[in-house]
Amino acid sequence: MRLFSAATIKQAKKKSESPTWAANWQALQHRVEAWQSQGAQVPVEAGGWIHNYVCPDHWQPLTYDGNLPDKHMCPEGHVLVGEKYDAAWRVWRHRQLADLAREAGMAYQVLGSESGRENVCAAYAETAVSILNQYADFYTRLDGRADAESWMLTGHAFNQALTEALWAVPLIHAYDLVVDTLTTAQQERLKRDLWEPLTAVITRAQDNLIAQDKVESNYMAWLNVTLGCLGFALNDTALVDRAIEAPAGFKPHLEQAIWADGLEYEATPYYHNFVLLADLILAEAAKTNGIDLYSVTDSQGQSITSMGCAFAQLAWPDGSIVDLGDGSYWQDSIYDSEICQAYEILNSAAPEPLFAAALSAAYTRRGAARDNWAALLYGASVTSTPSTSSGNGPSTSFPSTGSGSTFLKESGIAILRSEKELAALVPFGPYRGSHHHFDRLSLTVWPFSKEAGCPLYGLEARRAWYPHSYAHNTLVVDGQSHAQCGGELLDWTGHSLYVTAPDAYPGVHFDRTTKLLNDTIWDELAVQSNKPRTFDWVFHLDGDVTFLGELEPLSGTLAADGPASFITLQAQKQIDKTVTLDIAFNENNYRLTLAGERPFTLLIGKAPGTSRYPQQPRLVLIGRTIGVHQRYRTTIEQR
Amino acid sequence: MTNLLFLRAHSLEEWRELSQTSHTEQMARLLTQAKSYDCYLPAAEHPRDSITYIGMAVANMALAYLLTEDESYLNTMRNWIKVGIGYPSWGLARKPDHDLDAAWLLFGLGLAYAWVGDVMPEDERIALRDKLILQSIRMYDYALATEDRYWGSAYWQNHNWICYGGLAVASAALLKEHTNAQGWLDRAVENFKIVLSVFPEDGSDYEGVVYWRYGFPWLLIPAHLFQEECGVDLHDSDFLRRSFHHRLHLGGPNLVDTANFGDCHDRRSAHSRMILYRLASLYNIGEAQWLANHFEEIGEWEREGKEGMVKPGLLPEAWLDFVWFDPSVAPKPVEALAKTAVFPDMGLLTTRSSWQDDATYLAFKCGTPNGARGWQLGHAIDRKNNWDTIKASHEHPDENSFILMRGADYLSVDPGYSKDKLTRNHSTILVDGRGQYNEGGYNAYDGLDQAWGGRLQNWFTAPGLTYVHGEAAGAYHSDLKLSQYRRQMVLVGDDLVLICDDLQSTTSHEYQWLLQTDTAAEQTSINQFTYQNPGTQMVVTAVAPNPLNHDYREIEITANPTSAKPEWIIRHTQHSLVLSPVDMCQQTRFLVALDMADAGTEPAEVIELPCEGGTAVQITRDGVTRIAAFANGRSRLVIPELLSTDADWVVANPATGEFWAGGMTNLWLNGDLQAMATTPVAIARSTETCVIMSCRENWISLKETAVTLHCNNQPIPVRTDPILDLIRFPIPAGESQLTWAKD
Repeated sequence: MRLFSAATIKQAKKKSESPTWAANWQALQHRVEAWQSQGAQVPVEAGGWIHNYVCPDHWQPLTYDGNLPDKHMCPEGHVLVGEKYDAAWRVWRHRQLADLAREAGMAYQVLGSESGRENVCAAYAETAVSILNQYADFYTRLDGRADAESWMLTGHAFNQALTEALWAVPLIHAYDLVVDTLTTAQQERLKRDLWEPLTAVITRAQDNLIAQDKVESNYMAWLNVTLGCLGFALNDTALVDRAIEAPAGFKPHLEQAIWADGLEYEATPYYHNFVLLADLILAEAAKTNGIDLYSVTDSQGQSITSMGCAFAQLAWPDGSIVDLGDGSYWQDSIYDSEICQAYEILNSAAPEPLFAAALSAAYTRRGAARDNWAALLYGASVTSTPSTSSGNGPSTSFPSTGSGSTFLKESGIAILRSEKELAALVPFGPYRGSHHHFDRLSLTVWPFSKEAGCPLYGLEARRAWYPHSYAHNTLVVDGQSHAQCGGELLDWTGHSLYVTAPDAYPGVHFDRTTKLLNDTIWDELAVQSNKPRTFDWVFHLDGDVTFLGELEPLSGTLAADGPASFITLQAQKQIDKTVTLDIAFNENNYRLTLAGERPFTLLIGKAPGTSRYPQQPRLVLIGRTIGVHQRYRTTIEQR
Repeated sequence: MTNLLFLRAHSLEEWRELSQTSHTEQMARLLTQAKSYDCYLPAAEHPRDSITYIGMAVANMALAYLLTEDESYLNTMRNWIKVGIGYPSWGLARKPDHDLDAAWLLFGLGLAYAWVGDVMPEDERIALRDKLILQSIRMYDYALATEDRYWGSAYWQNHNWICYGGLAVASAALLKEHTNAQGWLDRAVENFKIVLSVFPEDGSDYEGVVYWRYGFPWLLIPAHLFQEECGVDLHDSDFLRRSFHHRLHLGGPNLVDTANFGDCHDRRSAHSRMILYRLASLYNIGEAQWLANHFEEIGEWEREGKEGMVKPGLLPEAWLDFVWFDPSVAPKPVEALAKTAVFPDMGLLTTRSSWQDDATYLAFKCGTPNGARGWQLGHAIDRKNNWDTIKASHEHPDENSFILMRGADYLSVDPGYSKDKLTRNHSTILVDGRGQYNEGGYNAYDGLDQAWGGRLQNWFTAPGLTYVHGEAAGAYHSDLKLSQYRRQMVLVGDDLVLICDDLQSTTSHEYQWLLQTDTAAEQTSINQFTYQNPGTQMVVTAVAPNPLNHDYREIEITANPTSAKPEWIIRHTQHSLVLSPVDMCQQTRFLVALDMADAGTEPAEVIELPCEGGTAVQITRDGVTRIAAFANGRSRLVIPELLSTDADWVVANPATGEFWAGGMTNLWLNGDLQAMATTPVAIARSTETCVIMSCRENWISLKETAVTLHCNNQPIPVRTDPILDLIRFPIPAGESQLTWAKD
């Protein structure tokens, strides 16, 4: 083996025999044996685009069932059919099988050493080898590019090279775990029919990104880890150099993709963790081969550890991570699983209470045991961690995160947290490309006014609604989302933020001051224009809301088309000075008071739910002023 | 048949004509040098001392004969050759036949064989040929046998270059004489291909300026040879191309004194005319030609010829002066060059207030042993081949150290050549009395893995200020659990240096801050120490920690620069000022101001200012007040009523509104928002100009009423924000020089 050290396997064996971890290893064993008993085959067609696995009517991800390649269940109860869904299903299937091959390899290495279990042990290895051989049988005949969209960096077994990398890494892991059972001829055959063609696909993708001057792309991290694992597994130092060194390997990618505050340049927590996971897998493989990527610190202090810290600091008080920008922010997405994998590895390599807290919170959200591959191989033993498959995570043993304030200057993210169940988030960083939302200077309030999130990318609303300014608690001018721009910091004191967005709307000055004092959010949004305009102060709400005072009924949508057409109006109220409403959310009560420097109209409507709960429409408040200036002052307190 | 190695550029007749026209000065020096060998002969028995000079002597006499046909040169040369080939081995005290002595003789005697072998008596020619063959075999066999260790694969070290260089020249001379000579030459070519591929593009060399002066010609010599004899052009090398600038910027205010990092025999023996000539010619570097002339005018070559500590030395290089001088290169004064230079691979920044003799000069170093590229590639090569290529024994454990000069005064010094490489002899930090790497022996880096090392993190230069930031926690042993040793240095104008050190560990330590000087300090107040130098009074004010302990140490530095001459010991005395917190602690900050003034004048007043989120000082001289502040981590700096910024560091003149800052997105001075950036920038704002360094495209807002703005001499669009009273404009990534015209 070249990807996993003897010490890692030894530690895993020891864990498998401990009461704390035995059940988790048994869970893996059951998954492998279930596959063995099925005798199922690997699908021989390429995978499509996983983001198509979504119900267009209910905006929810379809429920994957490995036994139903051509029938796809919406959680709302109806079935979807069609090649688009079948191809997306095959992505899940291929990735599931790759994961399974790795688990079979782990079972072979870790669970097969007991005397008298030689046959079982050999069967585990054969399972992994069988999957590898099946892929080798037809890999070169796949054509994932055939139905790829024009914008995609294409793969061979999938529409996207990125998907190919995500699938390949566990397969290479599996190969490395069972390579000692293969003859030279078998190794050569896999090399010829699988690894070399795969290498060609991934290197071509990497070269394409380099040619496009996109070294910083999150794709690059996964291309690098794939090339690195191939390089180490096949003892190909040129591939290892490609994965680590210039022009696009781990080191230059860290330099270009990660900002000084530790966050990936897109400033979306999902893609940050996505890159972190790839970097960690590569770092572990490198460590096994005497190369220490954990100690690599780039010119502005960027390192794997700083990446881990930046992400973990983006937690709300309940440990959930803020849903900024694009990402897999839907129910039961792979996001929390990826967090678990990343922080199992990271917390083992560089133990930190902050990392443990992020890990704990992710397990708690998933209701999952620590039976994933990263936990079983790398996971640090935590004595009080429940380790059965009952769904309990290790939360009791880890410290909590999400207290105090978080300020990521380069990324432009401030989180203010109170001692109570109240916190505020204001993103003000620069424009970050295609995964950016038009949410600059928005005020997100936890727990009852959280981020809109992002559904699967195959959904039309992903572009039509979620990224737009109306979907966020920010300012909308003349019914338009703000420009592709960032905000700028004017002041930050640790409990007070003063930001502006000079380029949001031409001819409009727009700034926001948000403070958290005495467990109360004090927010002031000031806007001034060079000519009369319509200013909409937008605020989304979950929970039960009670307005103090009479409302005038209203109907219709806010606009006939565009993002405003997603908002259905219900009522309005003219506000001379102040409006107050009470919010009940999760057994807590809050009061929101909104005041204007000059009179305004409060529009009340319903907007699509967050991407996590798209079928739960949210109340939306729109404080509309027509004029040249306004100053909206809001206080939010827990009562 | 004469074999005109190194002389292919012209025919012999042309060389002779040049010697009477454009090269008369060089020719005169060559003949003087060649004639000087008439009056003595090397000892008949191999001396205990180095014999490298015999090689250059023979080469000088051979070329003198070739150009003049004056038999006296030939006859003397033959006598020298007889002595040389009479030694059973070349070299005595250190690796006989396998190291520098043998290499220099292979070089010089090989050249003589090529140039004038055919006019030597046949028995002498054969004797010389056979000796060259014997010594070449010995050298080649040794290189093969020790490829995994010592100089065979020590690509970054002068022994590799000199030994392979000497072998290459002898091989070229013997090509028609011995069947294996082509193989020797081929191996040398391959070696130098690797050498030049593993050196950094910024031209830096970690061995120090004196070893650069000694070893670097041995990259130029084989490159010249291979170009003419093998058709292999090694000159297309950024390392070679930029080496002159690296070396130039390590010159102090008078360009003669040097920033003597690493093993340097003294502070001056770092100049070679032949190198300047060659680099000027190869890369059309007018400044190199100018410097060669300048040193002639100020008598530096004469001084170096007499006093230079590197042997064979300047005068025996006369023949290469002659060959490498290119009169077509127009001299160009250095004044137009940038005053600040950065060599990231070595982790070196140098800056000077001007190119005049009385300038203030600062050299700061924070890198990895062997240079960053060499450290990484060396480990990679070693891992792959199980070799031991990294021989950084001339490097010092001196990350985050600095050399400061003002005029002719050395104010912060480097120990130079040291037998024991010790961090305590450098102006940096000790932790519990311990220094960096495996300090203490001749080579502080043996067996260390790739993770060790410091790094030049950040720098910024603009009119009136240079800032540099190094991180060196990785240079200390991991059992100290040091997670941060961040040193920020700022040279403000030509009279003030600020040093802000942040140290952090998970365990408590005694941190000792060191300043190395030639003279002893006098304590002039509880946190102030004054140094009197001939031209400069330097006052050191420790603003933090407060309170602090201080101590003085007197250190004797000794070294034996060459094991070929074991009895040669150089020594000098150095003074250390040691500052430390009164108690052991996990983290601490040192903020120290070095104020420089003409001897006998009033020093500046340096006082601490109350500051949230960091440490601030106010410096007042001649009624002019400047403030400076350094943030704690990523905290916001607030000096009540005066300054508020998210910058990592800031220097400002509140009276004029000038400021310099790094890591800034917004800065308020005297209650007004002065500047804003979309992402952090370094910025220098004066009344006339603005310099901004940004990692990426950015938007900047400035308090300014200009409507016509130029960025790097190109007009750029400007918007105004009436609410914030700022102008706003885009800038590209990199450095932006802004100028404006007001309505």
